[in-house]
Amino acid sequence: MRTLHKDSSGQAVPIDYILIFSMSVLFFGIMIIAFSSVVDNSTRQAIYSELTDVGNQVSSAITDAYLSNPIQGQFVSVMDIPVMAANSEYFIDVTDEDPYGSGQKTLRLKSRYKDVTVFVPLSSIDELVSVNGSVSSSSGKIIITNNRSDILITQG
Amino acid sequence: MAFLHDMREEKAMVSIDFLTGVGVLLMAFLFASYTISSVMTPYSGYSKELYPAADRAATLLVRDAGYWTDGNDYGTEWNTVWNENQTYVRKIGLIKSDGNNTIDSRKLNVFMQEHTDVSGNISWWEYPTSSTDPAELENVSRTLGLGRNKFYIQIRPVNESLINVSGANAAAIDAVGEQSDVVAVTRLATTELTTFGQFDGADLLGHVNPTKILLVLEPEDFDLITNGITFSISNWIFDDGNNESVFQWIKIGDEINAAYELKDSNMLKDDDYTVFKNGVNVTDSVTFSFNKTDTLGFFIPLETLDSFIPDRYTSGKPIYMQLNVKSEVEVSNEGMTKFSNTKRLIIYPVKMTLWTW
Repeated sequence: MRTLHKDSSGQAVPIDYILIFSMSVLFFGIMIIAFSSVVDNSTRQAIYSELTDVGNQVSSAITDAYLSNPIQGQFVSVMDIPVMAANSEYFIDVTDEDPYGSGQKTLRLKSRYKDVTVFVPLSSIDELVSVNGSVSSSSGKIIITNNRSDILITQG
Repeated sequence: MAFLHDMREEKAMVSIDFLTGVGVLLMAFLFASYTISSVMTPYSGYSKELYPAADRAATLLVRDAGYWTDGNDYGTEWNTVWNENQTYVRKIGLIKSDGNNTIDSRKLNVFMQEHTDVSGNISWWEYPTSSTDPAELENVSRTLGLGRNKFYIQIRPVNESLINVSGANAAAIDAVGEQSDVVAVTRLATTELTTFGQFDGADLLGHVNPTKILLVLEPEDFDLITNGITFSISNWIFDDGNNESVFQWIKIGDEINAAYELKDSNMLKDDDYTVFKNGVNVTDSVTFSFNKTDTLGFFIPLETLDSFIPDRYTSGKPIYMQLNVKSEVEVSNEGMTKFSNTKRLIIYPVKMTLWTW
């Protein structure tokens, strides 16, 4: 046994390369996983940022629609929105979900791929009129209609 | 030594040079990745969401009349129910309901702190202040749509020389302080400063003989009651040949008889109210004299109102106040002198600034 331990002449040279190759694969695997994680976080942050912008634009458009306050007929506004937010389509709807505990409805924007959800407050508009609707970003347009008692978001 | 001898054999072993190289490369790569990614990723800080929220809140404040409901009734004159139950107010908007698109000072005065100049004609307002009740502040935040944020509002004349601008600036600095993320949104508007309760002696009505002046505050004007009811009377009309009269007592209640009189049980004691003669507190005097040119000011605090008329917000009845003065004073006729008849409007442009953080 002692003789075997001291004697390396029986070990094949290719084992040397196999070990080095294995170690390289392990290290580069770690690098790729770490890089993917960084890129994934950045993508989520980019989606969050873009959805926050779009949500605030839509919320402001709803505020403008409310302030238009048509005496007769209805106020209709067509609004352009980005089809993609950081390479991901998204959905917009008015929800009773209330992550801020304000007791009021919020605008929810949810991306299709990265499971990023953004909530934008409606500035208490829903205390004054009923706000409803659900759209996707696929057409790049949404229609906001105010008929004095309801504000509705529909697909453009 | 045998072990060291073995280490000199390099077959089937990973060299320390290789391990060091890969380790350094890995760390450098990760550092570069994190650095480049944080530089290139869009900024998504808290302030990115602040400006749009503040912008919407400011727009609604100066372009909307607001809304209240108690479940049955509703309306836009939310200032009339503010003192009764703040939770009835669902949305604060400052403009008048008559479509004139001007800020109603009566809506400002029910929740904002008013600072009036010496002449009493021009004001600036702020909210919240250090004395604001936290429960009220929470309710106001919700009704402004700023439930997530802290805020400070100031409304001042566009012509700042009309007010103590250094005081207004100091108040804003104290309230906002040094925040890392803070946005300020400014809107221009016109305000109608409404004043009530400055009675002219020539227009007084009440019980004629003996003279008992009767003042009435109607339910739609109850928002004028903030800390209590304040009013003053000047330009007294006396009988010919008289130049001096004596104030004796004041009563308060919600029922009068056909002769425009309140009951004796409605009489206030000296510690139930405060009276000023030309700005000097004369409450401790049981009776005091005054002449034609004197201005008498009265303040009836909330505690007195709660004691004498506890159900004033639900009864639908007006509040009557009766002053007994010696009969040298003339009232022009039998009847009631309405607070609403003393309404006076001063209109001037203002700018509202909303700080949010």
